[in-house]
Amino acid sequence: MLKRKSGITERKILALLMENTETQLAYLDKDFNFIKVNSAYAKGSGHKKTELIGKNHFDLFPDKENQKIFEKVRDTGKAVKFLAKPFVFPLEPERGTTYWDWSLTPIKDDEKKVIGLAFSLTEVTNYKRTEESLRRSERKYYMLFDSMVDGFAYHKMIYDEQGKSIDYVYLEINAAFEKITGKKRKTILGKRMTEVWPNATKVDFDWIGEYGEVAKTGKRIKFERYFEPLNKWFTITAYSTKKGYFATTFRDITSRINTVKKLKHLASFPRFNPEAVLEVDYTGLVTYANAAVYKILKEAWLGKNAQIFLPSNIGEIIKTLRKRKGVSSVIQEVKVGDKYFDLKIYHLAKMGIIRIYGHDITNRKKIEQQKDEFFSIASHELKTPLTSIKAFLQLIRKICKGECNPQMGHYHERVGVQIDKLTHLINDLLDVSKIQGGKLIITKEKIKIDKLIEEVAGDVQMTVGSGHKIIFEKKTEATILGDPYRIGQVLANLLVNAVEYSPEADRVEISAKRKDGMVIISVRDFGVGIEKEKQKQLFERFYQIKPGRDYLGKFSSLGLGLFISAQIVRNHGGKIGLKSKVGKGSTFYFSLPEGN
Amino acid sequence: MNKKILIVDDDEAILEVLSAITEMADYTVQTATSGEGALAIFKNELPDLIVLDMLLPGISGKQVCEILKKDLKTKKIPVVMISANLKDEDFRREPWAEEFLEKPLDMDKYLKVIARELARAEVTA
Repeated sequence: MLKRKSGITERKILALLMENTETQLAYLDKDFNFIKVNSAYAKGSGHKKTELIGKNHFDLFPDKENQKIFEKVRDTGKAVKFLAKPFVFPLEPERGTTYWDWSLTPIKDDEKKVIGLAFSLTEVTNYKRTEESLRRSERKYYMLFDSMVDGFAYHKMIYDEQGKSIDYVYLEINAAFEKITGKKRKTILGKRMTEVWPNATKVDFDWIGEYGEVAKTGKRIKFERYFEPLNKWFTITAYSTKKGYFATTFRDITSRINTVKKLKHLASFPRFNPEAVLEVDYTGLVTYANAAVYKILKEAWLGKNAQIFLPSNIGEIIKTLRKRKGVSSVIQEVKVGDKYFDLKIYHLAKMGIIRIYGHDITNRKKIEQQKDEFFSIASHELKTPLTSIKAFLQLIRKICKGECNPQMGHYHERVGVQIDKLTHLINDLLDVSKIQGGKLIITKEKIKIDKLIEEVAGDVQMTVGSGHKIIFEKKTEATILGDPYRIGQVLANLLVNAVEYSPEADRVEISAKRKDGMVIISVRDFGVGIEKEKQKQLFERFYQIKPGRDYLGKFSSLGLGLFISAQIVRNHGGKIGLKSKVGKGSTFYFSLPEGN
Repeated sequence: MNKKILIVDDDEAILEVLSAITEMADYTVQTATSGEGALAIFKNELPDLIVLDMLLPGISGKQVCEILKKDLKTKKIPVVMISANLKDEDFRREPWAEEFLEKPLDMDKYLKVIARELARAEVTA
């Protein structure tokens, strides 16, 4: 079109365009001297037009690389074009790297010979920088989005004609989404929710409806939900930044939920245990008590302080338990209201826990009490006729003394022995019943031990007759603290045993000595002795050594004597034991605390 | 003059045999079958010694002993307690009594104790 206009007009228009464009334009001869530049070029170069014209481009802006390009264009006659080519002004390095879109077009004469170059350039430094920072932040966001642990999805809601949400379409998901759900990006984007999860809508949660509200109102929601198609629990946040669209971020919490479930399940064991379960810290303060504890306290009108459940000496018990290694326990009886409990107190050292299980023994206690009463009454009632039988027998012997024939005298004696045996049996049964019920109560009196031994020895001597001489030689001036009846019982038992198990011998020796705050009393016989293997069992209940029928003597019993004796000695805080050699005899000894 | 001994027990057989044995040892015997009966006897005349069963219906032997020992007139009379349940903590040593014997009694020991307590009472009197 321009060609048709007159030459002058065309040049004017071109000059006008050249002057008014933002693009920097320069016309150079084939040696790269400026022939013509526009204002934009002058401004961009930092020189006045007059300073540029006639000057060589590379004198003003030396750059070997660019010079080569210029030379190549000139020599080949082919134009070049660059986008955002970096350039550092050699004379103005403070401007930093600048970026330029530029082209260089050879200007040829009619013979197609290059006579000059048209140089057009636009600085794009600012654009370039913006673009780069944008790209950088975009990449940053994308990386963030894709490296999120939480699943992310962006959706478009689909509404029906009435504006009711009926489905939604996946627009974008992140890597975590793929990982959590197992669904790939390619297969999910653009798909409807009902296609992706055909079963999800059948369960008891209206996903589409809930998200429809979010997309409509822009109100953010957060909730925890079981998602049946994946058999997983999720915590989900849904929000909307644009009407009709919504995003979700979600996290798989299945393992947490399962852990909580497991913990609840485990916790239900102590919680709903019908027996009392408590835990206390090392100072003895209750840190846990189950429902049974509070039920018991409520029934006993004791309020809600679980501390009441514990024995008052819990601190000492804990101290003792902590001295032992690993899991250790003690059993302690307590009374709560009118109920009795056996507390099994455990120290779980590894966990640093004192745990207590309380077993209700009220019924057992009642039955025990009835049994104790029964035994007490029974023994009394049994002994009453025995008392008169024994006395009548002794009366008969007195009356017919000298007049009876010897056979009659022998029979009297036999009856007497049997009465004593019966008395022993009744006493032993009563004692064992007490020991088992933990009711063997020991009184503490100061006792002159020499005197007590002499008395008991005298009594036993009378009952065993003159076959054995009971000798008490090694005396001590000691006083002991204890129950005279019970200690007498132990001593009598040991003496009778000594006589019984040494049928061939003619004496039994007693000695007493003081040692480390204790008095040790020994009874020595010269009888059959006891084998090593049997010695341990001696103090067990119902254990009896049967040396043979011949030795089943006058005072044989239920095998309770040593068991009862051991309990009595232990209740006094003493020890009982023996030394024995088969064929040489035995020495039984027991210790009692001195009392001064 | 023979010493007077009061025997208190609620069991007739025991009472009979103890009386016989005690009389054979040349003591004069009086009997009672209850604590109330025993205390009634004390109103008329004082025995020299009392053999007292611990467990009696009504006023128990323990209580009878306590009453006697608190009374100036009777406190010096020796009391020999007899019981089938001496080892039982409920029948623990009554601090007032002079002696305790466990049932069934050994008659030799019984007579020895009576003689000893009577002699001791005479010395202190």
